Amino acid sequence: MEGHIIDTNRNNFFMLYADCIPVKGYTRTMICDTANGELFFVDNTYYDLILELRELTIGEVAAMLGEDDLPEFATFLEQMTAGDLGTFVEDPGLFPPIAEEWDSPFRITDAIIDIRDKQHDYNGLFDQLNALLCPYVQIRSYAEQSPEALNAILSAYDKLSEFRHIEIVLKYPEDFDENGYRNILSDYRMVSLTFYASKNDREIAHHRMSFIKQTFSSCEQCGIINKKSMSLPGLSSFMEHKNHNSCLNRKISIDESGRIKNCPSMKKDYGDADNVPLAEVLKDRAFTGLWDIRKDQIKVCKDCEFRYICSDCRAYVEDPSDIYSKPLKCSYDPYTGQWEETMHEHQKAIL
Amino acid sequence: MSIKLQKFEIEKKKLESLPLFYNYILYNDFPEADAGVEECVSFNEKLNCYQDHTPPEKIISKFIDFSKD
Repeated sequence: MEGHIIDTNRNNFFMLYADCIPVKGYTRTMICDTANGELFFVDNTYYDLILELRELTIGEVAAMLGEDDLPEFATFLEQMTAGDLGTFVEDPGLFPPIAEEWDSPFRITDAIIDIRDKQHDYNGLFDQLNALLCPYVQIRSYAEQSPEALNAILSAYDKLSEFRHIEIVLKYPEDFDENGYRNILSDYRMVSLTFYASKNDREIAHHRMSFIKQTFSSCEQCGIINKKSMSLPGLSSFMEHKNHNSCLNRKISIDESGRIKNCPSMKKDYGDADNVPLAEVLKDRAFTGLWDIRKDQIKVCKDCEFRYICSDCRAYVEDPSDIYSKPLKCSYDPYTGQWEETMHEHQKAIL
Repeated sequence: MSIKLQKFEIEKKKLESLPLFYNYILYNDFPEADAGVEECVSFNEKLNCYQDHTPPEKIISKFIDFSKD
């Protein structure tokens, strides 16, 4: 019974679908099903087997294996087909791999604007971001923002609907005016609100208004990498993560003081947003150079099977003198395959 | 504003072989520009089309720890 799948496909090739991409890590291999957003993990010996299966028929591979391995081989093929990760083909040449490229029509794909006390020139910022075709903006407020204050920010620019989504993360106010915030969502369809420091977790207005208990006081709390921060592996996202820095690529940020940065947590700034056009900063190779730091270049991360779905962090690294060192707030050890439960103690030790 | 597309005359035999997507297009109703809060779309005059306002696939910042709460 175990050999049935081998016998019936002896002259065929087994191929993973082109959008199911194996990523070899130190301890195991992750097969990333970018079409269905699913992850599968197999032993690293199967990574080598997957490569062999591109060149050799099932019969030829079976002949290379010992009798003891054939049931395992059959189970592997059954699991791969049952998981809809691949299929048997007569001519693998008809199924070329997907080009591992990424590009975007947007000069900037996402922007962060941090706010506290200083009032930014919101009209100017939104207008410049729109001119750069930026579709996504995240506004992070370290203070309470009343519905009237939010309206003043959002009404500053009359073409706000050209943005696909504007996420506002703000402190839960003591005198929470639900109707006022609902009106903001009604008036600005591209906006979602996330209130932190809330007493309860809940979501209302179809997920566009959500509440979390965590509390934030500055951008220093950014950079958390854990299981939940992994991106769902869509093909475009996977290719961007593989070819560029998944956090900083095509990103521009304004910190709470109005300084232009790759990310608000980074030390280096490129001038005051009130005086320096964002488009000018994009001409600076020092700014855009960080966009191309790939996971394959980063210490430890290069051995991690999650490297092409992890969004990385270059602001907080284990060795601040080495831009290629591991993200400080990553809780995964690819050499043991374990997620650390005591990550915060680990961070303290390093700091 | 609501647009109701006309159902095209297609032979039954041919219709059976068309993908579901094609049927979806035939009977699609466009959401209204001034619909309620739940319909996150707006009419974009520059592009002369409805714009779907959805969050990005990629996390913009790792500020919120989604493993908590």
